[in-house]
Amino acid sequence: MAIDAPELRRRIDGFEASWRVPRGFAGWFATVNNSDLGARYMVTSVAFFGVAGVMALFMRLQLSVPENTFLDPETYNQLFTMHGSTMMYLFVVPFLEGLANFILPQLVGARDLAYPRLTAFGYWLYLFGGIVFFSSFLVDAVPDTGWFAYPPLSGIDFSGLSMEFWLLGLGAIELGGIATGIELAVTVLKLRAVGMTLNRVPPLAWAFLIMALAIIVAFTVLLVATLMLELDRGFGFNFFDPVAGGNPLLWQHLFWIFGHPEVYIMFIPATGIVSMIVPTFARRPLAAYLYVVLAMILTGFVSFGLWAHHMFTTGLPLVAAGFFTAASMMIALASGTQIFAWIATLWGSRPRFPAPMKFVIGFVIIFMLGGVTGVMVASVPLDAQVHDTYFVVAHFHYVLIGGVVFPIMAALYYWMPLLSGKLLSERLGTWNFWLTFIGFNMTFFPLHVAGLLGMPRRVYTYQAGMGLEPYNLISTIGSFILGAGFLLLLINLVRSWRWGRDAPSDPWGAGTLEWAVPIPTPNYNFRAPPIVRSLYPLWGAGGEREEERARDEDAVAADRAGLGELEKRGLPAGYEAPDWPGVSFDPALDAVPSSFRGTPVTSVIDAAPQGIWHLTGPSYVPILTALGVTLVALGPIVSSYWLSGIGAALAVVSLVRWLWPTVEDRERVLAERQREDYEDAPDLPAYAKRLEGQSTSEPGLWGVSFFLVSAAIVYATVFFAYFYLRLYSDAWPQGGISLPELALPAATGVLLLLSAWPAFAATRAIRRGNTRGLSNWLGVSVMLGAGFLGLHTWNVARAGFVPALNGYATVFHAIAGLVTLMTVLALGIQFAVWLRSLRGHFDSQYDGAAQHAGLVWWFTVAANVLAYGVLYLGPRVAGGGL
Amino acid sequence: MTAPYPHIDRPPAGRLWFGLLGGPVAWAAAFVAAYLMAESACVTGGSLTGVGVVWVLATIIALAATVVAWGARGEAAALAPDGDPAAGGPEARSDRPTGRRFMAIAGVLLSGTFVFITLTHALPLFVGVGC
Repeated sequence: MAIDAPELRRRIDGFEASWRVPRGFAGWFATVNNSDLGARYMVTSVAFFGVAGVMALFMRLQLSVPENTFLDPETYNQLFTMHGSTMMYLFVVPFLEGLANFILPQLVGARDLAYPRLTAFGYWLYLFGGIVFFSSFLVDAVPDTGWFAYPPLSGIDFSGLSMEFWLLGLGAIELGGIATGIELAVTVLKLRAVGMTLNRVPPLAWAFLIMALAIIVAFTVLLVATLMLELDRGFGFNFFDPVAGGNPLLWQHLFWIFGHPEVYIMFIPATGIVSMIVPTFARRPLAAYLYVVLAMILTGFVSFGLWAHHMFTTGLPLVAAGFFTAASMMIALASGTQIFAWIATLWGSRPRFPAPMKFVIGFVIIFMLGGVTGVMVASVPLDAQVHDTYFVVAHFHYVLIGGVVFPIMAALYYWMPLLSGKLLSERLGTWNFWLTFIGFNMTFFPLHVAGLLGMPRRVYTYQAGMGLEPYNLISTIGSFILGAGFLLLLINLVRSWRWGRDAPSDPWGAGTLEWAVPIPTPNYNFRAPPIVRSLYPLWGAGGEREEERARDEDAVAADRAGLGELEKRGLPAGYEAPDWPGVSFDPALDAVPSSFRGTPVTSVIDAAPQGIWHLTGPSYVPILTALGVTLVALGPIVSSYWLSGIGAALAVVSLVRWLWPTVEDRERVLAERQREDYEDAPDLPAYAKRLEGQSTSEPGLWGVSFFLVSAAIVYATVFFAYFYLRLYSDAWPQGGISLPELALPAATGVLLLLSAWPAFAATRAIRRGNTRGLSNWLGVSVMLGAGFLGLHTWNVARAGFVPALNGYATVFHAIAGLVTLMTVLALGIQFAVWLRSLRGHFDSQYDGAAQHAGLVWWFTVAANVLAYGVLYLGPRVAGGGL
Repeated sequence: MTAPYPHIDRPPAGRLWFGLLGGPVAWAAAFVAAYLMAESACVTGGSLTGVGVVWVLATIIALAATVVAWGARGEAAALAPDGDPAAGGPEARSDRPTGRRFMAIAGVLLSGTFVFITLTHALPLFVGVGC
């Protein structure tokens, strides 16, 4: 039975109402919409970029002539610290996260990201963390230890309040980054359009997936490391204090396990941007798509094997240094593959060179130079010579500005029509490009030479007569030209946003799905979900044939006009854009579901339809939770732990509200599922009726799994610290601490293992529809878990030493504390699900939270058993390292 | 387009995932283990033999993943012959791997590359590079 027009109208009205963004000042804080928050992310990060750029100009002015007194050493130290930290933590990654937030749903054909409230939470944490970080200027306690904050300089003996801003402000940002990483990964894996099989995923979506997974791993390591440093500074722990059995090199390892992948977290999406833009302007599909995807995956993995090439001068064993050199060389292979693919795409085509393409060409040139010097510093002998010189400064600016900022600028020019509905000025864009390109090379190329001449970095001046003057003067002049280039971009953005030319749909004649979204973009991106048949759905079914690629511009324009007409009619008959052979829009799901926000879920490999995911709507909960977390971080800064207490309470209450669905929510889902027109509609696909349930295919399961990956990295990081400190200790345990006894810990571990069974039985029961079984088994599991927690607390209390005693005591209590924390968290989830089960919240079709709670508990059991092995068996396996 | 979406659940996802990620995950695990073992051996004056064993094991796993991916590629090609629209969508192109074929081929190439990478890491040990 076809749906009649009044019914469709009713459906559309309901659909648009459910997607409406709250108006007014208060509504601004409640929005969870991906495009709003993505734009805010980008605008905020560009603001931070501007501030950090001005700092760079001050530094260049200071270095323009030798023995300059424009800046004193302290201010210079603060500026290079804030410049580096801002660029790395507050600009590049957040901008790319913002771009991902904005564009990813459109790229993959979804109506929003997988967890809209997490989108908002990530943004607010980022903003609040940035404000905390910069508020250091207000109290004249600006961090000055470099963006890497090596102890002992960053320890409490040498850095006071300033480091609290660095650690706690950035800690909040890292947490927000992990949240964003989880939802981006789930969106790519589970919310792709029907038919968007793995070989049809746009390169940028692949890049965002790899970026997101790398963020989950790398940011977690940094989060743990910053927490360790904070514990050292604030509570007398000894992770990094060599006098008390710690090791400052541990920080370097942990920092660079984050720090080097961070470069690729930025670079991989930048290459994804290029892989989107080059085919559009070459008017042909990306050459060697498979190899480009593989190069990105390989880069993502191998980037985690490069960390110690920042530590070649710390005295690594030769054979270990070889591992890092080899891995560094492998990265070059992957990067080279992508460059050849772009060249091959352009080869023989008739490319156009509007502003986005100019920046892409600039990127290729600059990045190749940066890549060459990267291979050079991956070699131990050369690195030993140029370490901590301006050669390294030149190298990484070639990689980061050339390799990342240029593609970001290309992205702004390219996707601005989707952001603002306007086109940026091409004339200003051309000036923008040339000023930036010339200014950049003037600024940083001479620094290679200055570095080879021995000019050390992070020193506020240099002596005259060492041959460094001309290079520094040219660099400073270049930096102002570069600054003018960036300023022109800002002018272009503001001018075009306000007075720019309205953009037509798909102004570049691109082939990917985001350009099928009407301009200006609606909140839901796609009212009728797309069904994709091609990597370039707007170009053709296969997207590869010459005749399909060579569609003339008139035909492209006709397509756009066609979509416009369909949109004007409001009720698309079939919502088909007939001249887009690679995509159609499912009329059966046009404006479905209509009473709440939802988007289709598909399988990971085949993108086959599985159901519809319930997306959450506007809420103040994310901002309140982020505010709570920020207050927790602020407490130590202002030495008011009561503030942290208030923050913790606010965060916990908000989280409970966040995670506690009302019965109305559930009933609304069930009602939508059972609506009469659904049941009577033979043309409605089966998956449209499966709104919830089928927990194995829910995005929720993937989200929980990625959370557990992050938790596993936390455990691994603390274990790494344990074994690293042990390696460099004369005795283990240190300081005459006796070996821990085994009997009670063994019994504690057994109790924990026993709790895994009822957790399993509970999930099995609800899968079979046995709600009473769920409650009963969960109750048993909770009791056993609580018993474990009690015994564990007793074990720790009986240890007889405090964390501040020495390095061993520190890592012992760190692992024990982690066990406590994870158990409390998992137990809390189990308990909440148990309460919900008593209130009848679950059935065999609506069992997601119960399944997820079981998974979290099994992970907790496994990780804690491992932790017990390290704590109680570790010291017995062998003695100290030395 | 409201008909059930055509797709084939073979080769099994487990084989595809192992084929794709077996090599890189083995390399990543071996890398951390080999680094810590090398550092430990060099600090304590111990032997580097264990480090070599770790790399050999990683190479074997990467090789196994490559072989599994190769088998999956063959199965995918057999199940989704050229021109079969059920291979990956209503209008799948015949000359491109559809979802599972794509993943299998990607596994062959990625895990195969990691065989090479693990060997490059092991090589210094076998030519006598020490602490």
